[in-house]
Amino acid sequence: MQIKNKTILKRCCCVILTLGILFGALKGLSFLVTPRDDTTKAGMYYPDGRGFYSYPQNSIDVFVIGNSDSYCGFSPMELWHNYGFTSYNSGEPEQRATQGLNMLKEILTRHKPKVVLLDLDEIFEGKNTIGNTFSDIFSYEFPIFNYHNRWKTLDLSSAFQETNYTNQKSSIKIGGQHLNSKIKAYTGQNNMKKNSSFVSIPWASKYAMDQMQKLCQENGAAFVLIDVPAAITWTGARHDAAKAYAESKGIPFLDLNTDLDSMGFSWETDTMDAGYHINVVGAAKVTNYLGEYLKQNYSLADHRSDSDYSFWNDNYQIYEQAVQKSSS
Amino acid sequence: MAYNSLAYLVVFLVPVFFLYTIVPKRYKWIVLLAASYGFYLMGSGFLVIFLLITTVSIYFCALSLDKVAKNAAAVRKTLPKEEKKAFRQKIDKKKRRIVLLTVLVNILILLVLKYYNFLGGAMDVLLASIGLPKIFPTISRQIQPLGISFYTLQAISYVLDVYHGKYTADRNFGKVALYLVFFPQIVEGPIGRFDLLADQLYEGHAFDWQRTISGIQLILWGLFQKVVIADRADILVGKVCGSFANYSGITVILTMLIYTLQIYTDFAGSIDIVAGSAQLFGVSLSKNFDRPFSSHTVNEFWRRWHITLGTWLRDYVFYPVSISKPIFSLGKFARKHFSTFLAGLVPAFISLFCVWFTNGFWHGAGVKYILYGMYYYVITILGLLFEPLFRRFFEATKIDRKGKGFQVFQVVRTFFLVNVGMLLFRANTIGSFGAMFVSMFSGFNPSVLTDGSLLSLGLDNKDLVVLAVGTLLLWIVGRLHTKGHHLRDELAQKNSFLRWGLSMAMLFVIIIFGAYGYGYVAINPIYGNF
Repeated sequence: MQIKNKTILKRCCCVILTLGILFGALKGLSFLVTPRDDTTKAGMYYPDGRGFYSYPQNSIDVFVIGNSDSYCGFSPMELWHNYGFTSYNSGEPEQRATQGLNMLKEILTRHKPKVVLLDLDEIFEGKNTIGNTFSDIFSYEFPIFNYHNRWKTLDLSSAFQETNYTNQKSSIKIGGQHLNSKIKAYTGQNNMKKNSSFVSIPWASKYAMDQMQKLCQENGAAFVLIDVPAAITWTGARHDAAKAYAESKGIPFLDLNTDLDSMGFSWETDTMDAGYHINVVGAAKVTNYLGEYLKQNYSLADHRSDSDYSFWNDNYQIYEQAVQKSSS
Repeated sequence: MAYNSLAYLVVFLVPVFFLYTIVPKRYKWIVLLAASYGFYLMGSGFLVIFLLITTVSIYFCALSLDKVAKNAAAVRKTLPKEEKKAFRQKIDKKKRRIVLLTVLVNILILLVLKYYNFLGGAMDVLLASIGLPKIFPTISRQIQPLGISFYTLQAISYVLDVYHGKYTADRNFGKVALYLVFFPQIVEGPIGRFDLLADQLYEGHAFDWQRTISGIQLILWGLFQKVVIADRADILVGKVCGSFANYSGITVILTMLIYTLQIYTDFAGSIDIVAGSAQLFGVSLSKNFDRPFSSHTVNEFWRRWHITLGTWLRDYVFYPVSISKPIFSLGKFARKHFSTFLAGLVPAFISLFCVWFTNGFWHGAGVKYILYGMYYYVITILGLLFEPLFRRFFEATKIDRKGKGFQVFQVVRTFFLVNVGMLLFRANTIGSFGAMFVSMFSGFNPSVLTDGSLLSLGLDNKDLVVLAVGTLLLWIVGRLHTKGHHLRDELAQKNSFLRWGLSMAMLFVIIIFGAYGYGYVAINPIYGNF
């Protein structure tokens, strides 16, 4: 019996030691691979969505999180130019809801936003699964799971350097917006009016939104659900499901698909790919509408006369030039 | 929930294992049953209803068969000798009706849920050819319960085994349910047999330290194959197959070889994860792979690749067809009208056609998959037909068929034939397979191996090195198994530091070199789509 107890104790110690070593190794490796700069060269994933690292700390008041709908459909430069609000487009390609949650966590390490807008196109996607939720939670706690591929390019000497965010690409300067002036009209039916069967929001998306609301509350930010105009992927049924969720949680919900006329938005001219994403002209209209909404509902500072924010005017000029270039 | 996901390994498997360990022995099977249904609900939601229909149908079918047999035995004792034969035939007919109904219902469910669009489309083409209108609307999103192709075969094997008297029906519904739904094998097999599996699942196994470590090591080995090799190979294969017209010669040959590597490590890796998971609970699943690329013939290959599917087809398609009355009559007819040699082959031709057609059709709802099965059928039939010619050739040339040189030739030949079959399996369409096959011979361009062209196929030089080293490790492990080494058992005899060190090293190799996360698209297990 004594030998058996000794063996059990030895094995328990083995397990605890193994888990401890595993935890330590994961944390250590995560430290090594976490990018020290917000550039592709430094290994940062999708730097355009993470360009807020390059901005002065606590200088951005509005963030938009979502998938490609958000970074095509929202223009931080238009918001700056017309309202003086500072904003950033933290969308990612094919982002899922829990990745949006992780993005918000990253944002909060660097800024104290007043308003966080979540574009809801991503919450109905099939990849919002329980499995992916846990993967995303682990990946945030142990970045080695996201950045393990850096083994190919990792320079160990830089791994111990202080973080220094230096990305000054024009896409970062214009707030992470993806510019495209192409016009490819959407001429299909209005999916907002089409009778379609009830849809439900996946558990993983609800979990992510609940956590985002909680994080915003803890950090003094307003959490708002929006949907940037999307002719193909957004429907009346999705609107209803989103509205029901928003009302149950007391979260403001602004479905931009329901007020296209007020914006002067047209699916004939304001989409680049027949209704999937809106182009730069459409984004300007959407942003001005959103800007008015933000102005009326939130006490956001107009920084246009603030000298600390004068570089935003330079960024706006870069944006104007880029828009002209993409139109020609 | 993919078997190679963190969610499965950490959030699902670990708590289930702990619960199984602490629960008293006689309730352990309930833990497995509840966990399996939980796993199934997470993967398939309301489609669990189809699994339940199958479970209930085979449970009651088997009980009915037993009841009929038991009552018949009692009645038969009282009958005079001259009535016994007729009575037995009557009972056999009744049992046949019961089992046929159950098997047909379950096959029908499978056909509708998995094959509706394909079969409906085929029927409409047939109707259109005789001037009739189409009657089968295409379903844009066909629902398919998780693992339906696998658990349906398991279900059919159970009722057929009871019908043939291999064992009696099990009165415990939970045991029958667990046999079908056991979570490690529901998605990709191996296709279990009731007499080998059910008792293991039901009896409950106390915690065993060495067995647990061995199971974890097998899971790690499976993860290495799937995440480091298979998912990395998919990047190159996807790129070339997606725009095959841009590639030819050695590039296509290399892609074909890498796809074979991918499908093997994907499937065998997933099976190792599954077998390792089952081992944690003291359950030993049937072997599904046995060094298939050391095969000398395609028949041997299919005895070493997806073994449980092959044995299922042998036991429930080949043998029943071979010994059926129509085939027996056909054989008799053939012996009257053809040569002895051909007459002997005719029944085999029919039985093998059924096997290979089923094999192909089981793999997917498409002509391509049927062609995949027919490819192996033609090779097998040609082998049988030309055997006398081959024998005369080897006698005349005095080539020793058992000699080392010929054995090597056979292995290389089989390897090539299997790779061509895999190319057909992977190609997006039959047309693209044809184009890729022809393009392999359209130009001899070995310069692609050295001029950097390979680096434009989605993998950089470091990825290719990982792929090469991974393949080498796979080969080494395979060779050690061939020489009779049982690596996990041998590792268990080594000192703790080496054991733990190697396992931790493997874990970190998977974490660091795995093809997942940012920049990668998650690849579902290839056989998980069935």
